[in-house]
Amino acid sequence: MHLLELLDVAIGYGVIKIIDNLDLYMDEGEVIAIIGPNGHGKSTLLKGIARLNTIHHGKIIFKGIDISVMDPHEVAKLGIKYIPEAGGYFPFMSVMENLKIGGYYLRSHIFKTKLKEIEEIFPWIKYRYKQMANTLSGGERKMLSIARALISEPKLLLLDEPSLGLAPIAKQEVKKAIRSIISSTKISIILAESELAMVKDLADRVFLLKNGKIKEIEVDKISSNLEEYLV
Amino acid sequence: MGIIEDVSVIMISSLAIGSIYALMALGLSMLWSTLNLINFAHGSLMMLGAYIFVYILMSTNNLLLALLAIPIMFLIGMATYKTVFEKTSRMEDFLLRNALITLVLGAMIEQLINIYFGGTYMKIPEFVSGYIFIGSLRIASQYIAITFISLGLLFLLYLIIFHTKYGLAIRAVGQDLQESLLCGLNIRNIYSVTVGIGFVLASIAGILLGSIYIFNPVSGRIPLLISYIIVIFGGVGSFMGTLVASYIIALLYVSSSYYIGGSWSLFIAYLMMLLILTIRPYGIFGGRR
Repeated sequence: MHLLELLDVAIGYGVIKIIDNLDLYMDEGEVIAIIGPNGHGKSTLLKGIARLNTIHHGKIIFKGIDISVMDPHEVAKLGIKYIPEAGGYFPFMSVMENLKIGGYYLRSHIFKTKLKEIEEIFPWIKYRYKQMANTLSGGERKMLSIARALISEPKLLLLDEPSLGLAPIAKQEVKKAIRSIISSTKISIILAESELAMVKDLADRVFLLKNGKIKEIEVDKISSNLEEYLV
Repeated sequence: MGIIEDVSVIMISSLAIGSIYALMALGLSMLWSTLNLINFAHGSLMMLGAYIFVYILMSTNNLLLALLAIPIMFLIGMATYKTVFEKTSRMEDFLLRNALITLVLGAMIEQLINIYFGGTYMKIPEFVSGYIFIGSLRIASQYIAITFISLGLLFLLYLIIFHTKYGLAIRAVGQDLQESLLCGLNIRNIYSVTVGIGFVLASIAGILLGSIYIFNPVSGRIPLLISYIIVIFGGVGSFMGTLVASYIIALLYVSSSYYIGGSWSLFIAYLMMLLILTIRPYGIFGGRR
């Protein structure tokens, strides 16, 4: 059984369909990347899996359960965590409060254990627990949003453009953190990303999503055909 | 009375009244900031709490049993969310629709109290009788008791909101609904409990005010307006702002009542609301909403 299966899925906003007849699967511990031009459905796909937009037809099966009829909070409780391209944190709460909300359903001793793991992936975070999230730098905010999702023991992370709008150094830090998650956990990741170097470096399989249709492409061939993928 | 006695009377009264105002305004502010619910029934809910308290007290002559009015109001709040606002909050124009619904609910509650109890004035017996003397100053023990009860409840509310998991969830939902959903928070449960807490705060304020002043079914209307002045002045959703605004408004209200009369004190409070809405619409502590 696959960890996640999308069967003949159509996703959109209200009555508007953005993605149609999409089939996709992924297994535990796998990292897949979705690339494609802006506005062609990368975020729509991730939001659809997180149940934040409309599923017109088809099924989304996660660990054998059809989640296409569930509410977003139920999907999140099953272990699917969507990290949006903007946000992913509570700006007027401290770093620790953000992490506590992320691990809201964890028992106290498990939360403490998870916190240690978070500190290993993001060493800077333990010095900023009392700092308000909106005073962090762009890269730190992005890492906080990943940490907030990570502390809840997720099975699947949906990372929406994690490098978008970040300075080169911050991009490297975020990439390093994602690589650390991949190497130290069995969490599966779907990465929607325009930064092809990051995709090539992190993903096991890569898919091109263009005009609402998806097709798998070979990871090694990405760099030579930039224009084809992102325009 | 000399100036020191005058000031002392005003300060003590303002502390007692301000603490009750804070309880009722914090309930209103919580519903506004968490659910986007502008509750025009808040004044009627204060009276409902006071009347349920009086009814149990008259029936049983037992003060502790009368306190059952508080959990009853909590359950009424949760039931109101489940039966009314859970459905209407999914509608596109929910802000205006919900505000109108609370207006109708408020009128219904007033009418219902009128049917069962009539329109005559009532008063909750004082919890403590007698006076405390500080020098030549005579202070009713009831005022002191109310001040301590209110301050204790405000501290309890502060602990719940800022030092419990549930309070964290309420603040999270008030800050960003989508982020809360992404964290797996059950918004509907948080909303229903928040409405319950809002109803409880209104009813406690009603019971405490009813032990100082006489009241009838429509006596919640002026406290409702004062609550709005406080919430807007303090900033919607700001605990500290609401607290500070409560005592400032109470001081203004009590001192103007003392020196120029009750009718003017209300006029000044309304004028202040108009000025705040015009000059600083997000209040002294509130952010842009």
